[in-house]
Amino acid sequence: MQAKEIERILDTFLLKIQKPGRYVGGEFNAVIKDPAAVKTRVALAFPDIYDLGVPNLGLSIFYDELNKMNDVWAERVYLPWEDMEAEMRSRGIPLYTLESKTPLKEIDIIGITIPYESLYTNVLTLLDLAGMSVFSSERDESCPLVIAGGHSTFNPEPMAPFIDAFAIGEGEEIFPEIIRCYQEWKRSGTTKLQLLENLSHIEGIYIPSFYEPSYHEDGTLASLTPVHEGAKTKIKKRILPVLPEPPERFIVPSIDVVQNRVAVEIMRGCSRGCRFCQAGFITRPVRERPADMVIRSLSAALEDTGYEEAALLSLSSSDYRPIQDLVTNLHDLYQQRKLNIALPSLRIDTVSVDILEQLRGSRAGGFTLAPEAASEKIKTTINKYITEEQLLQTAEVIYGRGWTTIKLYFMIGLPNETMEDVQAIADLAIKVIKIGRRLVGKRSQLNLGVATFVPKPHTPFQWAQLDDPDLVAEKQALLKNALKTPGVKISWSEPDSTMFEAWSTRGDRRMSNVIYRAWQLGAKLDAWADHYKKDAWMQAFEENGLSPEFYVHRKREANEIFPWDIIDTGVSKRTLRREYENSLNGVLRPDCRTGCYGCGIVQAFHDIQPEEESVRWFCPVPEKG
Amino acid sequence: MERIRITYEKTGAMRYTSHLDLQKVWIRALLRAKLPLAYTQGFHPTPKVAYAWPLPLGWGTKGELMDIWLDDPEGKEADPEVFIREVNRSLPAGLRILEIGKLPYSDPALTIIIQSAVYQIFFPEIKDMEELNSKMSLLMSQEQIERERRGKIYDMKPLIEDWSCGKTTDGEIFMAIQMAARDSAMGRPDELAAALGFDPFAVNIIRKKYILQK
Repeated sequence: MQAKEIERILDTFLLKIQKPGRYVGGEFNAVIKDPAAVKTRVALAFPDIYDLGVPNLGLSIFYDELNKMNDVWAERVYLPWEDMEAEMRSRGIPLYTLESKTPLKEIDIIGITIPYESLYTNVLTLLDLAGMSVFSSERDESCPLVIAGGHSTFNPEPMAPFIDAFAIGEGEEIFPEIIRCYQEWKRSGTTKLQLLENLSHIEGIYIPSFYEPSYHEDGTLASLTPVHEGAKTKIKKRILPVLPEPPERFIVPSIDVVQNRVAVEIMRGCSRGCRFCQAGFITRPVRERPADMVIRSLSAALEDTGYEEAALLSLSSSDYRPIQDLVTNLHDLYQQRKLNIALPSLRIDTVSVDILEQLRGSRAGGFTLAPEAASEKIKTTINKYITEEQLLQTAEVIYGRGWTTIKLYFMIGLPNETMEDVQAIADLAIKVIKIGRRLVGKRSQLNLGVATFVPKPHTPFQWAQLDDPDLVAEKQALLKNALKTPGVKISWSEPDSTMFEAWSTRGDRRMSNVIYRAWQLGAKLDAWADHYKKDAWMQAFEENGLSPEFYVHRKREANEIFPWDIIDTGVSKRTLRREYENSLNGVLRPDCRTGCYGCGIVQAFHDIQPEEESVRWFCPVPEKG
Repeated sequence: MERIRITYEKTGAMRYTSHLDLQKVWIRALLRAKLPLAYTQGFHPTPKVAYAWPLPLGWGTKGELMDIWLDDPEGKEADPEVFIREVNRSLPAGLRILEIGKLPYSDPALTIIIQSAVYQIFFPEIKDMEELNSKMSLLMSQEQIERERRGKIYDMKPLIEDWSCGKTTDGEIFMAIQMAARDSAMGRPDELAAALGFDPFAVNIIRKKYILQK
């Protein structure tokens, strides 16, 4: 089907579809190029609906960057909602790019971002709806090259058979390298195998078909071995030594999406070392953008988009050295205009309250803090230690300055946790709401977000098991009963989504069979609670002779080989193990800015570590000799 | 403060943007064009903009109206040509200003002075203009045209002020129809299409212009 034909047919039925504006493109800042004038056409894919895909910062960065290349046209593709999917299938409309309505199959490179695991089956829908086999091995040179990246690909194995090449780590440099490599290959007119081999020489590229796993009798991984000549034994993630200028052109959708705002990363990486936090370990080292660069690009993007909302993103905003400068300058610049600036991930202290007060006039939406734990023991276990005094003082200031709602995020199901530790969360919550009642009366509100901890790859807790579901239910019941206090609201993570995340995040290559089978049985849009098909997943496990238990509730041995060990994040496995042991032994590790613990990142990336003060990392610069 | 009436078209992909979303699209576009927008008073000041009647999702318009208020316009806003060029550059594909005019600051609202609207209804299934003509004549020969809207029966006939059939140079058959467009009496061309026996989602409707009170 041709683009013109697709456009014509869309007009005949789109009005019967929910939110048809998702499927027509034409937004402000969408890039239209002459297909005859470019060499390579890229589709940037977010494997969920438009509403979630448009605000994705990663794809916004690539869209801006790749379209600046004269010989490249990057378009966008999102997954249709199920009503649209059904119409497309019944009318034989293949998945198409939004800008030109070109069938995805005619594109050169499809770049899929997979930030979280619940998108796995959507990736299969995406490939299938494009009219291609979901298996890399069944797609030849006539099909687009399918690459994937994003945080969940730090364990690429569960998606190994579906993706041609994974790009691990930060994409700003590697994506153009992939395109150049593709262009050279295209000129040579050789096989797909040759293309994959060429790509495998790029640092950070993992070609899953070049590796084969073998398993011990107990089901654990024995090895993941290169079976193609020249395939690397470890894939080192890519990082940028210095953060580049952020994108200034953002798509401004003509329909409402989940976040209508300009987002600027002020810092990448985190030096805190919270042991549950995957992002904190896989995005090292810490790199800041200078405050003037942030302000310049934010101002330009606001002018260019007309948005009245902005977000300054990082894993730990209070650790951004020029935070005070940045906030004061933004305040001076935008106090006239009704601009709403979000600054998430602030430390729990009174300075944060001053900062947020300067940033936004409105106190709607409440003040969010993430202590994660309440008892001394668990605070030490997870290595996020905020004293109770500090938290209560902060709450005092927040309510005292007129906020009526505080949101606190906690986790349950952490290693070593007992009922006393959970009780401590309730006790702390009651202390907080009492402050609220005293200072703002009955309007005061405390919202508790209580997530169930899921052990993630590349973190010290990768050896830990997920807490038993019955115990989790008991812990939730404890909190529910202890917190019938007026003004306190609790929200939980769904037990099903916890289980799903737990098995998919630490899955091996056999998990791909489960994903494929569950997808065949109708599992899709798993991130949408009402769509999650538990039966399909259970059947898929059973038919493949696998058990969720193995992936979820099994404590790993110290020397176990993990499927994701093939990926080298720079932080050594030895460091992670030491941190795991520290957590069990009650040993705290202060912020690594106060002293380097030798996690491995400097050794891994010493060759690109900048020495100039303005762009230096927080890591020590080793002597060059 | 100055009041400017904008005549614009909404076509192509923009037809799939609802009236509610359209309002955000306009505000952002006007901010991008850096116009000195006047803001409403009150706790949550927003740019002062007034729209005409909402256009249902999927319909196009070639003569839509809206009013905006500017604080002490000077510079580019003063010259209509420059104004149109600058704002059009800030609009997404499918949204385009056709003309602007100044009017007294406190003239009555658009929704008060609009009397009628002229629509074009395209019927992809019809190949012969006479067929449409006779269907419509038959409908109009009835004493009353009873239709239902939101559970209420009403007579459509008095809402139809004028009609004729036509053919574009591409051979597409359409009906040009003028219907009442007042708060108390709102003609709906899709309901007319249904009365003629067509699937109201399968016809293509364009609002051509409004007729204002003299």
